Amino acid sequence: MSRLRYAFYPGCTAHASARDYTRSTYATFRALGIELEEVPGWSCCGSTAVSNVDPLLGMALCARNLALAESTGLDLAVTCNACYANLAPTLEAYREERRVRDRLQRVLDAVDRHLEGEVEVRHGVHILTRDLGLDRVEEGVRRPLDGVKAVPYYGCLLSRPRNPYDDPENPTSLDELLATLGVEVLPFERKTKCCGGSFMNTKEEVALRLTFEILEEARERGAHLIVCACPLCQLNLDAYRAKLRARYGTYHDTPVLYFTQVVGLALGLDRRDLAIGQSFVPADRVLGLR
Amino acid sequence: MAVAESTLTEREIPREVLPEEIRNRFFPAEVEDISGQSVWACMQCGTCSGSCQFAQEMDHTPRRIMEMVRTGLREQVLASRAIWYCASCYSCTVRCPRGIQVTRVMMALKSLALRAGHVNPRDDAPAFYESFLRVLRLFGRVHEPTLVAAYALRTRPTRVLGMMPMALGLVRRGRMAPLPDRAPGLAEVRRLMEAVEKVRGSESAGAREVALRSAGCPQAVRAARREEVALR
Repeated sequence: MSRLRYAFYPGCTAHASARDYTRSTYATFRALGIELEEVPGWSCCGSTAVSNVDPLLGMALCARNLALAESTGLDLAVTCNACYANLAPTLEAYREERRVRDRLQRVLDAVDRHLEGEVEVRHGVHILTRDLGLDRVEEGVRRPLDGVKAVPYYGCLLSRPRNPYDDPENPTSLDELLATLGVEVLPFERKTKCCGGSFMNTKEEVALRLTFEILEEARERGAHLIVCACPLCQLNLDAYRAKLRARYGTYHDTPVLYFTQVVGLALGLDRRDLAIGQSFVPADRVLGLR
Repeated sequence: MAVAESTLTEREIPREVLPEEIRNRFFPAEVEDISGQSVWACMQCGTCSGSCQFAQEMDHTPRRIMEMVRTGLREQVLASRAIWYCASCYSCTVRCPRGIQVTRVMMALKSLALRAGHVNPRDDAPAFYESFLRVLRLFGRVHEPTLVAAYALRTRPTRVLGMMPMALGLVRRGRMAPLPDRAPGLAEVRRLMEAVEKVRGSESAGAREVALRSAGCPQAVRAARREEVALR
């Protein structure tokens, strides 16, 4: 079977708050024989922030990044849910809405870029579960995570506005991936509920309520671990535990890891290569590490 | 449901009232143009409001906002706190039985509110989004510490103090980039931003005229043209 290769769009958090995500993505994907080549010259996709100030600019930033990816001849791999939910829908609108395409083409012309619309945008979760396939993941498992109970947290933007494989109301790809590793995947009603996103900066009380509800359900279900696929979700669920305790009187000690870290552990990779120690709530105990 | 025919003639409308009347009539079309979504497809079922995790914080539910847009209640919609409580979670979008991407409608409304200067000063979200854009223009990528600092300066500088424990936590865990990461194509990104302004500028005049005409408002078309010329 030919090796899988992708142009990789790391996103702005890749070398900052989500350094652990990037590092574990490279390590895990390499171990599974998937090559990632960083898109040369990529810029911010605009996140939801830019689309709120200027929707056309939000799409234009995505269109340029898509054009850069397309010119490599490879499909585009994205791991940040927010980037994914910006790039993939922009591509879809570019293909299907004439007005959007006309405008974006004029903008791209001004910077001498061209987008045909043939590139595909793939989220890391789907690369493992669909492009590579669960059988191949299973073949690589050296250290099954038996006895670990986890809830998958998709957040908003992995399954919405839409992805080609998952039901937006009840996505299952992350569930399937974790089960392949030997993890006991618990049902999780809030798997696609919003964590508040950037409201943690602007409407803290609202975001804290949402993160509390998510953590509370995970605890009630008896989860040892929350597994996510988005830097902002990870940060919101991981880094505000002291504030949550001050507000609600409950301390949650459930760690939040990226799916790339969990897969990597099952593959038998070293915890340092997976940056396991970089989360606020330590995960070593529940994973039986050290 | 169509926009009500105007019974006013140009002569009867006082000069100072005309621009608002124009803007109100133009509002649904303006929102449709920016969002790419048909607000007239909405059947007011309320699925969006029922799906919204933030509806309890809003002064008008998403369903009501949709109807207010159609009614041309421009000022009330753009000044509402509701639009700034949309977190872009897309729950409404995936459930809308009419296929309207309500999230994109909300984004269009937020962008129009900013342009119209209608923003509630007690809401920090607009400042955060604008700071984000400013940092993006500076580096082509978003540098978290610069974003947080820019945002704090625009809202409450003392906010920085409250953020210190979090920042130190990130530093201790090697999750803070001390220096911004400049996009290699920064000059190109800035040119792209200028190009967006140009494309928008050249299209808004035409779109406005078409919308006004379809709203059965010839006097407003003329007034809009006058306004357009005066702006040049």
